[in-house]
Order: sequence, then structure tokens, then C-alpha cells
Amino acid sequence: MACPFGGHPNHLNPVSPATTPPPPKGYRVIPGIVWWNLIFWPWRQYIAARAMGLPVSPPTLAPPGATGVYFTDIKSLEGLLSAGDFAKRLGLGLQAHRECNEYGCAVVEFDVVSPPPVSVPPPAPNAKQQGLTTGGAREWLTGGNVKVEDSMRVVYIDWTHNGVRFFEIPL
Amino acid sequence: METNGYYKRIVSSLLGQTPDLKELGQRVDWGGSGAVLQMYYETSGKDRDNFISAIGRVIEEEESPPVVAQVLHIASSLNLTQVEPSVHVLESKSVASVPLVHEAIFNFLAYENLFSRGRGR
Repeated sequence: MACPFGGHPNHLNPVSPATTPPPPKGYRVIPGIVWWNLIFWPWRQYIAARAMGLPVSPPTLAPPGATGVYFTDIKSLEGLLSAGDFAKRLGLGLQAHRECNEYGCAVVEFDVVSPPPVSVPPPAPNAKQQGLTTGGAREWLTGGNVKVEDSMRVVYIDWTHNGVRFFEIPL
Repeated sequence: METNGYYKRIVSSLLGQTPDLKELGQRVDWGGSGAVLQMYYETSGKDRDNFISAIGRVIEEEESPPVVAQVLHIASSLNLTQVEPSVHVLESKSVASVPLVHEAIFNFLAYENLFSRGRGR
């Protein structure tokens, strides 16, 4: 079966740690329960309100008040197939990992805009090296939260009784 | 669970202070909001009412802008119209003038107004 972002299933590319400048495209993995409830539905609310001329704000890729958005590059996503694979590679916490296994996950592709400056964050607890997640993906941190935009590309990965599937969600 | 219990669980989740989230340190990210969502979906009947009351109390009483903004975003996303009076209480507090919170209040009331038209209000 083809992988959503290329490569062969379960053949992970070892990647070197993230450095600056960041790649032009960033990839953000979001557990399904958060994606559908706290980003996609608010996005639909935003579109409805925007159509009526209300000056509302769109949802963001990190929670309100977050200082930045953690993201990776496409090379780090090659060979990943299931939502659990994505959670593990990105080093998500136990709860987020469980949510990905249960409900799938969204991968949002966005243009990395700098400034504000993008940095390589300090290593996560239990990470072996700065610039890599505990699962071995490159990671960067934006200099502020990122608002959802029509131009972003979203791939959703989940599973049915037929196995893993993935599909694009238009914004 | 009583409202007070939910109140404490909601705030500690959004601050990343539960045992599950503590290990993430600065990287709580959506983990706190995700835990609150999980709480919401685990409730029904009287527990659901208590949970929603707790959301209202967090909106009225908390002082941390990220916590207030996150809980408003959750309330807005779940269409928890019951907490609208709490949002009006919040409007009179100083934290309401923080841009992050101000934006969240505006969104909540705009969406509430938008959807209330559908309900014939």
C-alpha cells in the first residue's frame, strides 16, 4: 500500500537533525479528536461567519496562547502509513498517541513564513538530540501561532475495517 | 463528579499539570484541550451539566489569558451556549482586554449569534 507522503511502508529514512533555515513547507500532525472538534469545525464556523461579513478570527494550528507551532518536513514523514506511525515518529505524548490510534490524525501542510523567526526547539524530554523528535523526525518551532488558511493542504489518515486509508480534506 | 471537581481537572489539564501531561513540559500543545474534550465526551446527564457549569466558572474566575482563551475556544467549538452569561461576566474583567482573550470572546459571541438565528432567537 502507498504511504501518504511517499516511501515504503515501515521503511523510515534516518534523517539528520533539523537546522535553520527551515524548509519552505511545514507539516503539522494533529490528533483526530482535536482536529475535528477544535480546528475543522471552528474553521467551518469561521467560513460561515466570514461569508456574513463578521470579522472573526480563524482557528490556529496550535492552541490559543501557544508561543509557536511544532512542525516537521516531508522527508521525515516518508514511510509512515498509519496514524499511530505518525504519532510515534513525531514523538507525541501518550494521550495524543492514543487519540491518533482511535480517531486518526490530520497532517496539515503549510507555508513556513519567516519572520517571525523559526527555530530548532530545545530537545523534548527523552529525545536524544536537539532537532529530532523522540521518534526521529526533524522538528522546528515557528515564532508564533499559525492561523488556518484556505491555501493549506490537509491529509487525513485513519482506518476502517478494510485497513488504513488516507484522503485530502478541502478547506 | 461535582462542578468543583471538573473545575480543578479542567484548569490543571489546560495548565499541563495532570500526571499525563506533566511529562511533556513545555510541549503540552493541544494535550490540555484534548484532555478537556475527552472529559466532555465521557460525561452524560447530571455529570454533563456539572461539566458545563465548570466551564462557565473557569471563564468567569480564571486569570490566565491562555487558559481563558482555550476554554472559550472549547466552549465555542462545542457550541456550549449555556456559558454565554459567564462570557458576559468575563467581558467586565481586566483579562478580557488581553488581545488573545478579546479575540476569543468576540468569536464566541459572533458564532453564538450566528447559530441562534438558526434556532429562531
